[in-house]
Amino acid sequence: MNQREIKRILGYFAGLFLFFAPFAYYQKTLSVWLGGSQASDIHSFCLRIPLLNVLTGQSIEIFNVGIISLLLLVSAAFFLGPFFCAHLCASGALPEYLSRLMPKRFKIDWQRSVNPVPIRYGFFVGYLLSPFLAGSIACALCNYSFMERLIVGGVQGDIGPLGSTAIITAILWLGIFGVMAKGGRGFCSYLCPVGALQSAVHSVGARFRFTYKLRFIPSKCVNCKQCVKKCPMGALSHKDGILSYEVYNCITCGQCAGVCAKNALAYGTGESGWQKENAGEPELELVK
Amino acid sequence: MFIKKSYLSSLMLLIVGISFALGFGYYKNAVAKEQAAATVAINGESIAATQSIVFDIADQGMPKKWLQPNQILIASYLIKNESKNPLAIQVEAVDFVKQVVLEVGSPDIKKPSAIYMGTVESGKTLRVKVKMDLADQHFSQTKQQIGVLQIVDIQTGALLGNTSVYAMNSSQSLDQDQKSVTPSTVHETHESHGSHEEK
Ligand code: SF4
Ligand code: SF4
Repeated sequence: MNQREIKRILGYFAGLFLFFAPFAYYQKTLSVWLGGSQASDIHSFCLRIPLLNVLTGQSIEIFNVGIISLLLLVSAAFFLGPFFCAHLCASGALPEYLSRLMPKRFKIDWQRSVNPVPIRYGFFVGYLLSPFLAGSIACALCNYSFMERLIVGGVQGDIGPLGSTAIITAILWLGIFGVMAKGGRGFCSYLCPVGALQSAVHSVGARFRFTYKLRFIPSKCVNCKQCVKKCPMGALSHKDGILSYEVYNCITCGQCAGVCAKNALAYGTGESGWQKENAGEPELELVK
Repeated sequence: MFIKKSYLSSLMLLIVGISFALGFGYYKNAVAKEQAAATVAINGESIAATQSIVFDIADQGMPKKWLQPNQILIASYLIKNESKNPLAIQVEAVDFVKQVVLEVGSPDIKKPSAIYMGTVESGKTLRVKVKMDLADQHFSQTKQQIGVLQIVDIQTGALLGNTSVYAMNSSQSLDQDQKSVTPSTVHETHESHGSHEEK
């Protein structure tokens, strides 16, 4: 295991203690700082709920844990890329690491079979529409919520009653899109509104030189496809000597850069190096 | 094969994404009865007239029925203090034959127990989550009492409210009941816990 990998794992452990009950040290600290006694679990942090509250007019309170977190997340995504996904989100990391235990031949390469971007953003739109049409799905299809149940269950020794929607979430998140999926991040790719929001913001931020992004130096690339194999999100593809990059599905985890022996990929500021950014054009190939 | 080649397929996938989210919202509503909710207004003097809670196993969605039919949840048991003073109360789950825990606030490192003690300020509402396990007899067609939730004034010992919790399985035939369930007589005695109407 290299240093980069160890750092990633430590980051996800930090995220586990920072955001999930029974620890939730981030929410607890922020609540104390705000002077309130807000609940300290993933729901008070969850960026899905303030988004919905603002949208449905239920809350325009600025100084609460949820809204502050949303603002931090969006700013981080603009300047650094989906930093939360890449370094802190334990619920994204768990199925990724679990899927490494499954032999390759049993895994499905979802992102190569079904383009995640339209589904990811379609789901995001549906998620925002759901309170108006079908009843909010904020906690019903929530991998954060289930992750918290697993942690609390592990600490207390009992996971407690699960609803049908939670069971379906677990099957999708850890099963079909987790251990059974190449990269293990099918849920992130298709069904996480938080990830979708960050990647969308990052796609704008990445257009500026001063922001951090996945950079590509075409002249160094030898078409070895190691980066494509390594990407857990299926954000890179390679066809006819062309490396394509899907910024709308990248979490800037840097794993591709880590395996690139020629340093053709790097996370940093400056020009992205990709010839065109995928700005909603489904056919775009980013030619090296 | 990459379905990345046309706007049409992208549009279709976009619709799939939207439909999935909305469909799941409808599904969530369809299985909402898997969890119960109840409100008890306490006034610090007399016992509050509360509705009983009835879980019908037939209301459970397929995933729940298959994987975990015997653990159920009252997602929000709300205790509203309608008196003019703060009330120090004890909420206790009594007569439950299987495990039951009362959880208030965010989950803690320590597992909660069947008793919760705390103070509810005047005009405020305490939200308690009640997690419980069902025994075999609770899966019969006829309504069986699982237990009772009691709210007691810690200072005076007066009973401020109680809620009976029942389970039944309306999809179970009476014949099956006779074969698989040992008739429970215990629940008959629980009716004396107070008057409650069916929800
Ligand atoms: S996409 Fe969602 S679940 Fe995945 S890492 Fe990002 S926030 Fe976590
Ligand atoms: S393209 Fe690279 S940085 Fe982006 S998700 Fe894939 S491996 Fe991570």
